[in-house]
Amino acid sequence: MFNSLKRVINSGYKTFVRNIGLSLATIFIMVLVLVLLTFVFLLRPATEILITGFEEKIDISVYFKEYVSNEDVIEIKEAIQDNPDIREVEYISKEQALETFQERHKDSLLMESLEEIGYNPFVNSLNIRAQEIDKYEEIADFLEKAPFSILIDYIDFHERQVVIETVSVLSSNVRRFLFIFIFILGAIGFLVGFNTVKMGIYSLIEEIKIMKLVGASNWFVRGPFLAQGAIVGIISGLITFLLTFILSYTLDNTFQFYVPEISIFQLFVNNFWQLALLQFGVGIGLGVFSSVIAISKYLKV
Amino acid sequence: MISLHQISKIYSSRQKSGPPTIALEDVSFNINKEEFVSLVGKSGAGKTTLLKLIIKEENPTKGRIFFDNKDISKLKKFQIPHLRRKIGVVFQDYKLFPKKTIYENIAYILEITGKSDQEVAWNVSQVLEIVGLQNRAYNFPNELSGGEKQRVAIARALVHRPEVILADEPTGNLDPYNTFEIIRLLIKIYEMGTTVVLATHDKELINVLKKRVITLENGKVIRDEQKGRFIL
Repeated sequence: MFNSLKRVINSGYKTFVRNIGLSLATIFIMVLVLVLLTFVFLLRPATEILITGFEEKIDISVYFKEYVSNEDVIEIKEAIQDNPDIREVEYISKEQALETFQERHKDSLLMESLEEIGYNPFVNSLNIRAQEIDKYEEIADFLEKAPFSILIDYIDFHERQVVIETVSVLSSNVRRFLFIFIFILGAIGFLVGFNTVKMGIYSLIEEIKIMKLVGASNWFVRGPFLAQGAIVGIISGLITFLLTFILSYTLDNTFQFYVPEISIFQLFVNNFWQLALLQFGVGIGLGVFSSVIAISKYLKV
Repeated sequence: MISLHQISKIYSSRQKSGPPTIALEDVSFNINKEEFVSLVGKSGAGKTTLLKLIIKEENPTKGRIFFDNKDISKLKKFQIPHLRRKIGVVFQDYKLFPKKTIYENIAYILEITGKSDQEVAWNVSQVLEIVGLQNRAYNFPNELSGGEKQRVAIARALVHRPEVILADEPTGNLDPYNTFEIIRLLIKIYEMGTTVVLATHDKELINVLKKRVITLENGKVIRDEQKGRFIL
């Protein structure tokens, strides 16, 4: 068994070397496919980070009536924090609101109007962030129907509704588009890789026929092609791994210039094993699977 | 050793309404152990079809073929390689592996039968000596002449010591000198105790051999003589 395995691998290796032109062409296509898959794989969390970052910028504010005390607002804050749809509640006192306003508009004419009023016109408020973007409507509804709703002056959800809905539709569309993109890319990658390996086998139909005619068992015919497919897969995986490592390292600064939240090199390092598995797994899997499918057609002699 | 019982092979036409082609019709004969048999006939008489049926490259439309008293029509798919390993086949177009060296071409048969590396090396060198190609072991087939390629094909057919060698027009592409060399080799193999079935349409060759001749015409056996001549 060991002897026959050794011969099959050896024969696969020799076929690989003696058809070096075709082998290199197959490796080239496989590397292209794997590099694309790798960047899609890296792009997926990057896009997720971007979408989440965008979504996190969205919140709704609940403004309380002027007479509502700080303690009452803090009490309400603690009460609504248990709502499973709410991720975070931030209490902003009227003093904090004034400070923020002053800080933001210190050189503006607005400051003069504020001085003219002669008192702090801001009220206590709560900034609420939802677990998911499409929960804001439910939260606003919950607040409006809550027992403490008589203390609420107004909720700015309705003012922000259009923005929230736009972001919600946009992010779900981006996710859907990304999913379709990955799927299409994966399918193209598979078909291209599969056809390249299949074409390689087509060119050896005559040899396969001879093997069968001189009494080679299916294992002896199929084995070298599987070994060859695996060799192509391993080499393609290795080249892709090195190439994507270098690319993610050199392009990291450029990428961060446009998207500062994301370091593709860091993503590469963090997903090191997953990427290695993806590249070698898809490479070897594609090589071997294509060989199995393509060759099964010609084993009928 | 090989027994054919009322074998017919009919190819249906590719066109729906076209007539079928009868390649073999009601063919019956026996080939005994250590016999040299020539199958003769014009091109299209059914010689190659007959050899294809014996190695189960194709199946007969009717009739049965026995090899060592076993009905080969009953062989399961996985048993076919075992049948083919008992038969050495020499093809007119050599059918050598173009990307393997001469050594590897011959060694392949031994490797698939599970011989050790030492056995492979010893047997290949022996058989290369028999066919006179020791110095060509590491050449590729495209570096050889037609006669040399056919000698390699014979070496490959012979190396695992099959019970029978089927040679399908082995001299069809060769000049008279190489034709003589190949026939000399086949006789040598026969004298070493191997059954040889030679399919040819070379009249002079058959008349020189003075062995059993089975003559086919239009898919039928029209003559079977122990010391036959090529008469058509």
